[in-house]
Amino acid sequence: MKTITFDKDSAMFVASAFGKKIDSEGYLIEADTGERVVTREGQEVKAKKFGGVIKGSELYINNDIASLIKLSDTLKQRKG
Amino acid sequence: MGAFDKLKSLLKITGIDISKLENISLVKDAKDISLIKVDKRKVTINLNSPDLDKQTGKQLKQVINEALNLDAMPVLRDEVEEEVKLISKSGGTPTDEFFKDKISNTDLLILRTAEYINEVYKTDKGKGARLKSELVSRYGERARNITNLCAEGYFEEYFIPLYKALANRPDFNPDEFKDTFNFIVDTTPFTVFLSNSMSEDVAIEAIKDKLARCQRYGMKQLNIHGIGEENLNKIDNILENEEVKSGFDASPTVTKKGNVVHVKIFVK
Repeated sequence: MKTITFDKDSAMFVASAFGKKIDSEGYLIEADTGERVVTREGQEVKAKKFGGVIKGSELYINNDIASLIKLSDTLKQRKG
Repeated sequence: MGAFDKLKSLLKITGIDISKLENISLVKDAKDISLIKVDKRKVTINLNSPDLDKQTGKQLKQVINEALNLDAMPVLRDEVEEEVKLISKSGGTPTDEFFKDKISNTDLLILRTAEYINEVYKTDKGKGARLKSELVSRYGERARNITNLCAEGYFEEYFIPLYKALANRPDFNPDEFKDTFNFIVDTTPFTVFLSNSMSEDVAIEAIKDKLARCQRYGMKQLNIHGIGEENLNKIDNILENEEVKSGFDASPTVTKKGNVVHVKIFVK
């Protein structure tokens, strides 16, 4: 599977590629509306826990183990 | 034109076979100022490089955005990609397959995560403890209880046999299993499971330990669960044991359904 990966310090560069920035409390927000970004499960995404994005339309990933177990399943299903 | 081709064109990368590339890695390296590093399967782009001007940076963001939205390429934190690879290698188990549609989706996710954590714990206790803490932080004490039950083998040794024992009955209602499961998970720290391999003496010691725990924490109820004729008989003998009897207030409540027994002991 082809991927784009980023290190901790590049996280905000990547987030801004999708029109996101950080609010005063360290959460990812939409740059135009200020609305907080949420994962598929409705969790807000703290910048330091920003694990990435996958298609669907844009699914944001929190970097915690339960989210990664789910992500692994999703990517497996997509591989087919 | 795919993301890798666009990148090759944008950054004027030469001498690589795009078809063999698997990863674009974005880093901020303060020590090495070169913009691009290429190996057979990976292109590393240093966002700290003075060779990355504003305009190119903007176009690079567009490539990343299109890689996701047009090519469906995942854009992941490096450590996330690593962990997902490890998770994929470990795979699911027959146990969590068994519990699909039998417990809630959240509990199933917790169970699958607990199985992975227990695997990790075998080779890296520090990482195992950190992942467990993350899981508990997200899902609370229920996650701790499920992880502990999983680590101690109770899903295979108790919950699967319990489900099968209940499902064999003609009046079986799947909610009955869910209710029992929820009750046991919620009261795990104050529960004793009797297994066939557990002698009466060992069972009595386990119950005495949990009675002491109940008294320490002010819990007024200890639960005992068992399946099978052998354990049913064991329980009758255990409840007659003087040391065990000295720990309870009133007569225990014993509920038998077929060959499944639940006992509630009212702690002094």
